[in-house]
Amino acid sequence: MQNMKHATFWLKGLGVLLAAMFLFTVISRATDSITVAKVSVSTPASRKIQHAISAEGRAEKNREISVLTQPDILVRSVLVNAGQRVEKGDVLAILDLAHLEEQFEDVVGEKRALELQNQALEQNRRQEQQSKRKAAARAKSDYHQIIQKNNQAIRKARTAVNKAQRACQKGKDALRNARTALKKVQTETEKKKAPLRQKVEKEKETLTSLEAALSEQRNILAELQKTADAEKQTAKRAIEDAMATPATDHTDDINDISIQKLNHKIRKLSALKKGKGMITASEGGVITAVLTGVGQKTLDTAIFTMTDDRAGLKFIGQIAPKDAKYMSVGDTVTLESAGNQVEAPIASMELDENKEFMNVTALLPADTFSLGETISMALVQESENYPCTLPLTAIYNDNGKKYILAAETEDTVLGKQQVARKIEVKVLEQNDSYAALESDGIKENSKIITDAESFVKAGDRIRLIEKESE
Amino acid sequence: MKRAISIIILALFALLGISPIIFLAAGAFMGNQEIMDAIGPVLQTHHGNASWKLLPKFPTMKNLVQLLLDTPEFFQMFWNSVKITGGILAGQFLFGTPAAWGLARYSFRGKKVIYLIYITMMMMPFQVTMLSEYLVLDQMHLLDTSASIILPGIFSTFSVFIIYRFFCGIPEEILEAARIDGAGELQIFFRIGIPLGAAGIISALVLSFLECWNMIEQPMTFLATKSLWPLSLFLPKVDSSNAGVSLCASLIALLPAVLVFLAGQDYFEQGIASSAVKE
Repeated sequence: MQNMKHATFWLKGLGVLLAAMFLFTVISRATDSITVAKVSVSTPASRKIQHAISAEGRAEKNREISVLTQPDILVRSVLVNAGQRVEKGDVLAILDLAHLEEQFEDVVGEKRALELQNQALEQNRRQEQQSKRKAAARAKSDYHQIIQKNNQAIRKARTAVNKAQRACQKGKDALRNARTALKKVQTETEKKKAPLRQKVEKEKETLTSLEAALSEQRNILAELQKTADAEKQTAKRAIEDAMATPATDHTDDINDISIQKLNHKIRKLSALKKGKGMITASEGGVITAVLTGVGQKTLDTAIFTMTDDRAGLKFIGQIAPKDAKYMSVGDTVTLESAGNQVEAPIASMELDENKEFMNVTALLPADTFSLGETISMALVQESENYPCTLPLTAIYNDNGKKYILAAETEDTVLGKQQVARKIEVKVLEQNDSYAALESDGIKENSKIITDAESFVKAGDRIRLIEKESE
Repeated sequence: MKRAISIIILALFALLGISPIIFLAAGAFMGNQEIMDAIGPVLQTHHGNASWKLLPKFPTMKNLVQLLLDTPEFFQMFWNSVKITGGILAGQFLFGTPAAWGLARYSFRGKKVIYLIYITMMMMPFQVTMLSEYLVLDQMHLLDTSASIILPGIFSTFSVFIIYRFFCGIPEEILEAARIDGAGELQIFFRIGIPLGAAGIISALVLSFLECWNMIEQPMTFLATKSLWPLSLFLPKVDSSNAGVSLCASLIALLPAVLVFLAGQDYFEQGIASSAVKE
């Protein structure tokens, strides 16, 4: 009986333990249901990544034109201010008429002086040409005379040389005959030989003198030819000099150009005079700058700048450089302001001075927006179709490595449980909502965690609160 | 004097015997850092020598609270253990007790052979019978179910052997008197056999409880589904993040075994004593 009581006591203890364990089982299950992260999942979907780019900008003038007039004329009055709208033909400023007249007279006088200078130049040129022609004719005549004279002298000298040559030949023959006769009396007495010897000697002397004469005639001929060549060369040069082209002188051409300019100036000044010194707007627009003042002289640059109504307006907005890759020149953007919506192509894209933003310009159709109006620009670009895309909230970053968490069923002590499994991914393209991923390692029906009520890391147990597939 | 020395020596041995429980009780209320500082060298996470304190330096209930309120796995495994152990004990009582009664009280051909087989089977460790058990359970499509642990446990020969020894101790004269008084065999078994052999039955069940509660090899071999695992497989790997919870879990896992042992302790001692007297 004592044993029974003893056993009952401990068995009651065992019962209490089991009851406590049951209680804590319930509590721990309840705690677990609270602490296990509830997550939303999504399966990878095929979609195009859309990039919506928007920017705020203003309608600005597309082109500016300048108002020019003749320089150095006193301005009597300026009738417009910067920012003022003017129509075609409106008077912008009035010039001093007296000063204008003075300018006109100066220009006309200047033109007359140049014309007279040109006339004088023409006359001088004609006289000079006449003198040149005469000199050339004379030189040619002199040339022919010299040639003729020298030819005659040379012929005479050649005849004298020929004659001296023949005399020499005769002298040589006589000497030979005398020597032959002397040889024939070689055996005779000296008395008989003496006259013959004297004759030989005499013939020798005669021949020597003849040869000297021949040499002299030859020298004379050579001298004559040399002189004739020199004179011929001199006469030839005289002809060339007489026929040489006179030096180029473009003074009259330059004066003609100056006269043309002066004529142009005179026409403008005449027009100004005719218009009583009034400067008018050539087109309608808004004066953007007044560059002269009353009492000042007009400039050789613009005296007014103004917009041109004919050129229309343009939109200029700024986007972040990172968005620039999704836009290109020619893309059509939607422009909207105050309920007014139009589409226009992008005309240009360029970095601003600080290289912080990209300036986007689009030409605005006529009569759509007004100058200075604030306009919203929007553009939606679609990428190629990616087979595996997920909401951006599914992408986690761990020191630059991107990964996603897939919900997978795992056999645990508590039975089949959903567990987060880490899959490293490579993001191909993304926008503010979705990212396209390389599909390696991601199954089509994988449940990817897109949102969690509390922090989830790889290996954590999770509970799915949504099985919706996007 | 001799008695005092004997008591001191026995006390020292007793202290040595319960030192794991002291280790558990102290560690269950230590912080993880304190535990790792003490046993880190054993786990090769710290240098130096392992040490232990009887009292925690900074006592905390954090581990106990975490185990009881934030660890549903522990309770799942606890109830798995209760299911397996309860099933085995009920089965052993249902089948083992009549088997032991039959072997102890009846004479039939082949009785000695059967008893010899029982003894032989009892002496075989699990590793020897594991393959054949696996093949049989596979054929019966019971693998990876709780029945794969419970069914072989029900027909354990050890409890039959223990109960057999107690039934053998019942005097034949009592049974003869009952028969003369007109009692049938079932009446004799239920009215005389079980009450008189209660000590043996309880002893066998207490021993079986301790064996089943600490079963490790059978669940690891036959159970692949983690949700069926018993408490003996809870937190097989101890590290700095779960050391305190592990010690708490071990301490709580110890409680049912202690309570069952204490509940059956008197019957256990009585049974052993009567058996010894009989022998």
